[in-house]
Amino acid sequence: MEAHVAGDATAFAELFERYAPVLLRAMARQLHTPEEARDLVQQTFLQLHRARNDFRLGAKLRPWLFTIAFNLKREHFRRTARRREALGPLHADQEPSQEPLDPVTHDQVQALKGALAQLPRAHREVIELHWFDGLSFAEVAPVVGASVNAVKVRAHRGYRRLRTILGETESAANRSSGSFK
Amino acid sequence: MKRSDSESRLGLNDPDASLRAEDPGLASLLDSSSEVPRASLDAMHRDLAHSLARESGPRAWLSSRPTWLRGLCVGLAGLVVILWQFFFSLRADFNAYPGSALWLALFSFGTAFVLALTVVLWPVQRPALPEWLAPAALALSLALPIACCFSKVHTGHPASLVGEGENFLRLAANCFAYGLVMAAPALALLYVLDRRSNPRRWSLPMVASIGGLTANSALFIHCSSTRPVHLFFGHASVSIALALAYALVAAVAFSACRQ
Repeated sequence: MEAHVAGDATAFAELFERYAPVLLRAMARQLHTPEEARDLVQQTFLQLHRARNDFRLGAKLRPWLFTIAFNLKREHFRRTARRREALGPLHADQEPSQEPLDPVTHDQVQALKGALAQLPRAHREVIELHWFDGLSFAEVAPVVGASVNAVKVRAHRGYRRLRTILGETESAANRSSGSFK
Repeated sequence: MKRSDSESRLGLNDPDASLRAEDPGLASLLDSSSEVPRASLDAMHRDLAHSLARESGPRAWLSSRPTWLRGLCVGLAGLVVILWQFFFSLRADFNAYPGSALWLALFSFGTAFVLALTVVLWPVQRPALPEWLAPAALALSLALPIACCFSKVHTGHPASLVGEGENFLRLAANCFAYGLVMAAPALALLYVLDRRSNPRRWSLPMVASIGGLTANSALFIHCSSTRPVHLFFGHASVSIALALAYALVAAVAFSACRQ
């Protein structure tokens, strides 16, 4: 980022290469269509470029980017008067970079998605940013506009709720294998 | 209290360690779920490169200035408008007008101006401001000029009776037009300094309120009429008209986004 602020033309492409996949993944989880997710990621990088002179040298870029992306996502929801509460399936135009998950794991992942969708938004955002997007709790804090301790409390309560929901799902399905515990 | 004790016992200092210890299966599932597919980014990169290529010229340069500098520019524009009135267009009854009331009004307008400017220029890379703040700031910046119209200072200080009778409409229209001209520098600056591609909810009426406050401050120093009806239709109406016009533009923009 410091190179981009200094005028290095290639630095922005490197930033895009490094952060666009993780941002796209985060946006795709919460938006209705891949087009919306791509549009918001582009807007995020455009805003990053326009705000480059606000960047404090030595500061971490990832929380900055995620804060921009989350603010734009909230504004997008307000403009379109829609909210995405459930986690959608992976998009068809995305190419897997990993080996496909085995059927049991796939079921578990679907169950986890269902359980995450039932969490309060504040808890879900923290868990997604931390586990799926790789942000530390200290990095999540500015993104969601809370203190690090508050973020940890949300994570802790989210985990507890997830375990309860998954336990209920497991009981309902009366599964003997593929247990989460 | 019981919940807090329980949570601290469970290791709030490191919720992940607590989760891994208590439910390694869920921790491992969360780990594996993070390995979602990666999209092809080439087309997106090309589009972004096109957008960045268009980011040139004076407006792009101005809007990319640091936020504090953009705020300072708008603040200075407002200050220049006010000082202009003091030096070149001072109200005729200035020496007779109660000084404390004048300064109190200007201080109130200035405070609302700073608050509105903070909301409008709040950078997108900072955690969002509380949602109630923008409508509250807008309401304040509209209410202050209206409250000034009916202040007891004016009804108890008939230093000037201009704007009475037949002259009412003409003088109110003059003040209205003068107010719009005084609002123009702040509005123009806010337009060129704006970084957003799409308007946010409240952002356009907030911009209008900044122009309205500048106009009302200037008119307060410039116009010597103390009639509430003139002050309402000639002065406060500038804020109201600008807010309504900008709200209409915002509604059209939001409607286009929804479609």
